[in-house]
Amino acid sequence: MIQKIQTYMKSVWPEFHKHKKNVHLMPFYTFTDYWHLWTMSIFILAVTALSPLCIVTLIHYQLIHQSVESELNLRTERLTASAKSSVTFFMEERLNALIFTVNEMGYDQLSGNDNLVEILKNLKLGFGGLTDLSVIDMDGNQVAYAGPFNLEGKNYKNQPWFSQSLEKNNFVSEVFTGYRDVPHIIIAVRSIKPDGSFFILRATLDTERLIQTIFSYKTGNHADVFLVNHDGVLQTPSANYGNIFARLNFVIPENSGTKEVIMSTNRESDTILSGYSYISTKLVDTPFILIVHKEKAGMMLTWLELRQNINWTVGVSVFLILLVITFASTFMVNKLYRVDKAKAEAMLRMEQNQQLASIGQLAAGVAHEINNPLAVINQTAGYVKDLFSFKDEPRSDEEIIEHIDSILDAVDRCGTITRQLLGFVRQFDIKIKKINLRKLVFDVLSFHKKEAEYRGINVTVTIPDTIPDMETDSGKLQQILVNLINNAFQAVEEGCCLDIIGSLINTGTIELVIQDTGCGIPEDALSKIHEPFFSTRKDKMGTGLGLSITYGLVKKLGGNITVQSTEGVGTSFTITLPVKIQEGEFA
Amino acid sequence: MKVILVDDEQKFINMLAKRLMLRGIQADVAFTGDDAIEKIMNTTYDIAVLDIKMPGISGIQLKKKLNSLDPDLKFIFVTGMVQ
Repeated sequence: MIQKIQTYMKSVWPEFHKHKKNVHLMPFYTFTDYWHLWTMSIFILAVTALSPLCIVTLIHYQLIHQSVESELNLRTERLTASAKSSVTFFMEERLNALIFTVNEMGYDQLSGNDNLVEILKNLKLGFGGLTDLSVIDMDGNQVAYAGPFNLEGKNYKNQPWFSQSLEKNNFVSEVFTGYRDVPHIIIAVRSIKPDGSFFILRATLDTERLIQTIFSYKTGNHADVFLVNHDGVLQTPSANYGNIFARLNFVIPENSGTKEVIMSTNRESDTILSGYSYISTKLVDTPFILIVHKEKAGMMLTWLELRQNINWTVGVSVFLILLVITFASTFMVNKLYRVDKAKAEAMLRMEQNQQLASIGQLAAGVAHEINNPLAVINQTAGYVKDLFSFKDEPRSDEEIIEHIDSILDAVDRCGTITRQLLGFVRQFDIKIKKINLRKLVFDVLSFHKKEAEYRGINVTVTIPDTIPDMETDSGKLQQILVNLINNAFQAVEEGCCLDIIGSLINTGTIELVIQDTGCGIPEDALSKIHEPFFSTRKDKMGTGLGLSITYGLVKKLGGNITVQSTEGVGTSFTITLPVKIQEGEFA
Repeated sequence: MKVILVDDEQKFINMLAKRLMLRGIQADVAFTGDDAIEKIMNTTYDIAVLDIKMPGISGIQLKKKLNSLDPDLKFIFVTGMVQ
């Protein structure tokens, strides 16, 4: 179990964090900055995964918020409508009762106190909410009175309600204290007598009954329902604005003829939903405005709790998504790193193998080159031996010395060839040293000297002596030349030409052109010749690595390589290389 | 016995000629195919020793030409080729 966990941890542990730069492997890595790749992977996956979640959450918030707000508006509107109906009904019911009484009884019967007491009693039984009842003539004199207060003989001519009631047949007053010094409402009905004069039947309404009716619509702690007059004076107590006759500190909207809900803020900057409606009966307009206040924050508590739950859920989801993304990115980048590392190691091995392969390609030339002086040594040594075996008299010293010199020359030739060959069997460390390009080209060509002679290939080297010595990795440059010259020799037929032209194109750059008049490269293959394992000579044991490795080597030396070829005409490789590279600048 | 030695490696061919002559064999040298043809046209040889790989005409091609000139000529091939 522990081993399994260890294996798993090893697979997800970010191995690329320990990635060390190896000058030999670095050029073969597809990615160099795995930290950057890892962070980018996490960032892109996180943005891709979290964006829809965040957008949906925000849209959800918005929709729920709008829906809750709309529901609150609707509820406030309904409450306002219901309360308005009740208040209107309260007023209309009592006004209709007075109208019925006036029409049924007439002035003569109403002007008697006993009758009035009886009518008041019946009205209280039928409707309730009535305190007293009085009949007032057109001069404001109270003709008859039934009720608990001692108001007989009072004159109301100078009372504001009296003058207002003269203007209409029916009248509903504001809440006022009047003679009795108790808040009350007057409703009055004017009736014309047969002689043309009129009288008023007035009833006093108990405000307590009205307050209870309104209060019954107050739902919850966040609602406030009350009546105000057109001047903004409270007509019933308010939970937020005080008792009766207190003045409101906000402007009441104009009468729009219907109930409306508006949004405003109170002194504590809380958002308030206000429903208002002007109370008007079928018989007469009243001075009352019904106002319903609801604190939005209080009403939105359910929504806020829901939002908190959503926030938690989204927060946990985001955390889990980020965790999974981090693990997945680490796992993927780790895998990628391992594959890339394996590829880089394989490519390095291939480069080394290709170098050995290029030495193998030279082997035939080397063997021929060595065989010739060996044959000379063999024959000369044999002849010296023959001189002593076949002749009785010793030869002159000059002749022996001449033959021994011949042997030494041949041995020297072998030594030169061996040294040149050893030049290719070098270590893979980067060694920057001074190189004479012309000499290097001739060294490489020396392995093909015999082949060129036998096949009649005309090799010309045009590299002026003025070209400065290069400071570069000699091994890599040598291998570039071997690969390109080998390729050229394989491409050309007998009697063809191979031209190697070197020039200094600016103070820091050397251009080397290797052009042949060989078979050329097909146009469709030109773009692929630098790809590993691509070969046009598969049937002739071409590995497809030569040019791809040459391309890599030129890049390593900070140079560039281009190719131009026409099938059947020839091929020209152009290499540009810096005259001087610093150790570590290019790997 | 008369032998003609044909090879572009002059030191080798001269030394071989000297060693044959020490053994009583008359040996002429030619460094190119054309040189060999010219000599065979003027002299009769018993054996021709030919290098296979030579600049210009190869040993095999030279053998055909020499054979047409002297059908009785015998051939020995020498080569430093490894393939």
